[in-house]
Amino acid sequence: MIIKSIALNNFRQFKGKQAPILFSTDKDKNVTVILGVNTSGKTTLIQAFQWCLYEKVNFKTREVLNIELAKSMDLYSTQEVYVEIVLIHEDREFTIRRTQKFTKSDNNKIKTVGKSELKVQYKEDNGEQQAVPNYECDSTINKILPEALSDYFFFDGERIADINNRSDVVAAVRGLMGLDVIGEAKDRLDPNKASSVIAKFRKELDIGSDEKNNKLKNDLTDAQTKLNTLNTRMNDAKNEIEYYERRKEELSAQILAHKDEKHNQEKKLSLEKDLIQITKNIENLESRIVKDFSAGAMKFFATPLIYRAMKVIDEAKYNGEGIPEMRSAAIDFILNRQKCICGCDLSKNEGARENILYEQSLLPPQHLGTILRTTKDTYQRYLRETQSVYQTVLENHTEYRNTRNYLGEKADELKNISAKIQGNIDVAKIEQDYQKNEMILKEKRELLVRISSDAGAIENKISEIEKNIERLTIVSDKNERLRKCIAYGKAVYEWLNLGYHKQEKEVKERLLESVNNIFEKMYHGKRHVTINDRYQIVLMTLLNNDEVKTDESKGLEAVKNFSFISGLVDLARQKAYKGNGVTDDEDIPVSTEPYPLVMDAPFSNADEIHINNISRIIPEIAEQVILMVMQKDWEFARPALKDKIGCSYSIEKINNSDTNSVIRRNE
Amino acid sequence: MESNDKKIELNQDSLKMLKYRIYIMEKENHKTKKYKDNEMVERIRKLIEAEVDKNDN
Repeated sequence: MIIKSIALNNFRQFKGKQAPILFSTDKDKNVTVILGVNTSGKTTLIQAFQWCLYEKVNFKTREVLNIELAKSMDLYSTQEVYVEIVLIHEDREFTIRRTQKFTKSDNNKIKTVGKSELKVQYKEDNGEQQAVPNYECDSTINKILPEALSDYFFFDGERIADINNRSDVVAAVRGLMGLDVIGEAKDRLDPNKASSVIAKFRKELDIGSDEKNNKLKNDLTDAQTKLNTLNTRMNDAKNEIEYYERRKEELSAQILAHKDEKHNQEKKLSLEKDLIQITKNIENLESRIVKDFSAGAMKFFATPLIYRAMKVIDEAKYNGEGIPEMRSAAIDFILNRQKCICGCDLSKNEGARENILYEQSLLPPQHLGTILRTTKDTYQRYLRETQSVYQTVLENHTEYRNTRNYLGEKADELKNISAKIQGNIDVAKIEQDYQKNEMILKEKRELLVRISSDAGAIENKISEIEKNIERLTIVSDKNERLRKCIAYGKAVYEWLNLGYHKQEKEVKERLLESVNNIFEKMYHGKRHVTINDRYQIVLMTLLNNDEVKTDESKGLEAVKNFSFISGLVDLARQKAYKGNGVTDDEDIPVSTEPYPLVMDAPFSNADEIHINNISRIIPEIAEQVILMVMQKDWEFARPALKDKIGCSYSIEKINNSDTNSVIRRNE
Repeated sequence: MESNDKKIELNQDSLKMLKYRIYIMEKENHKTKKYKDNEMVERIRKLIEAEVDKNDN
């Protein structure tokens, strides 16, 4: 497939009918360059291809009608968007045009008028245009370039990183190399499948009307159905394993990429815990200070007064000391009852009574000596207690101040760590997901082993039943014919099966060789490329005689993915030239078409050396190259491409507008 | 009942023709998706039967 031209009308930035872009179809000067600044419409051009062929766009807003035009439309008026591509496929010129009408409705909204209209025409050998019936338009486009493969040939360099990690890469490679056709053909003939051609022939075999014989046929159908189910489950399990292996790689890469992040997150978590604990300690200290201070505050503030009072007491003159804590009223009570606490009868013992009266004279209110002494004792106790209150409050306060300082330090540390942590990536969660993924992967692998073993047993059973049926088959013309049909069917199946595995092995080997050749031309270092079972490219390097998987910079990743796409294009082109038509008897006549490479911002992540290398290689590999690039990248690519440029265009913004651009051919 | 274990000789030209035609049929249908799975099985089956009948006549 070679693209001759594309014409746009009112498609996104391209307001009005634009002059068609005529792409270079020259085999030697096979590069067309389209230069443009940011938001001028380079990506829109790629999308125009995808919209015209498959009605798919990748814009945030799905409307394809030019915004300026949409705003200026009168109520109920209509406008038309179309994209027309002219291309050559298998030496025939096709014109593909998709048109969508729009109208402005009551609420000033732009609405589509019906579905888009797709027209496909091709040029007859006599030059006449022939229209493809409407119901065959999509399938005709799919014949030219299957939609599933289109992303590999119309691609955005800024998103090239995903190209080799897509889940459909295996299907894409198989599709591109024609292996899916062989796969489908082989499945339809597979003797082990209940609905296959061969199974249908077998069912018709006459093995007599004996109940046992008929049971054999039923057993065979049952076994084939079971095998089909097991094969489906096996494929599902393989796909699931593939998915979880891919997920494992993604998670490992994330864990590796966020190694420091993990440390910081752990540190952050620990700091957050510390902060909670320190804040609690501060709260406890605060309440302890309040409690201790409240308990001793009165005495503490009364200390100067106490000293003064004690001074007054010390200076007071008082003789004799009464019995401590004894009250005068208690003496009166003893005198009135006339019996001492020692048991002496005071009415009969005058001496004792006088002594008691003397003791009473030493007690308040008659005498202050005891009161003063007791008060002084109390004050001395207060002073002792005040001393301990002061010490306690001082110690508490010191601890409080230190703890607050510590809290400040930890808070600063947390702030610094938080600033280092990017976004909201939860590395612990990624690790949990990784472990979970590992468990599922293990389960799925065990399941696959079990299913494979069951499938093997059923295959043996089928083979046994088939032998029995063969033995019982009645000799008749009808059976003879059916046996011949089965034999031919089996022979074709074996040819397809063998061819499929042979081709797949060859595809992988040649793709690896091609990708490595291209990679070596683009990259000058110690790394080389391997391809895994999922056709994914892995960069390897030698470390102490061991091959190890290596990390990739953005630039290296871009080179790797360019190598992959270029390898695919190269392989398709080699096959296209080698494999058109039937080859010898043993080979399956696989054929593919050469494909163009249409790339938007292909150099986004590459440095100037890689831009130069990529520019040198791509025109040699692809049949046709269409590049949409920014002027700054073009400066690095131009020296390598100058002899390969067939034509060049510039996209210019009108009045520096983001919604109105025009494409002009550079002379 | 007579035993049925004799080896079937295949006509190599017919086999070659069948391989080619089945593959082309599949390739065409892969692009156009015109026929469903069971329809394709039926078409292949008829193709094989026709080739066997042609040889027998």
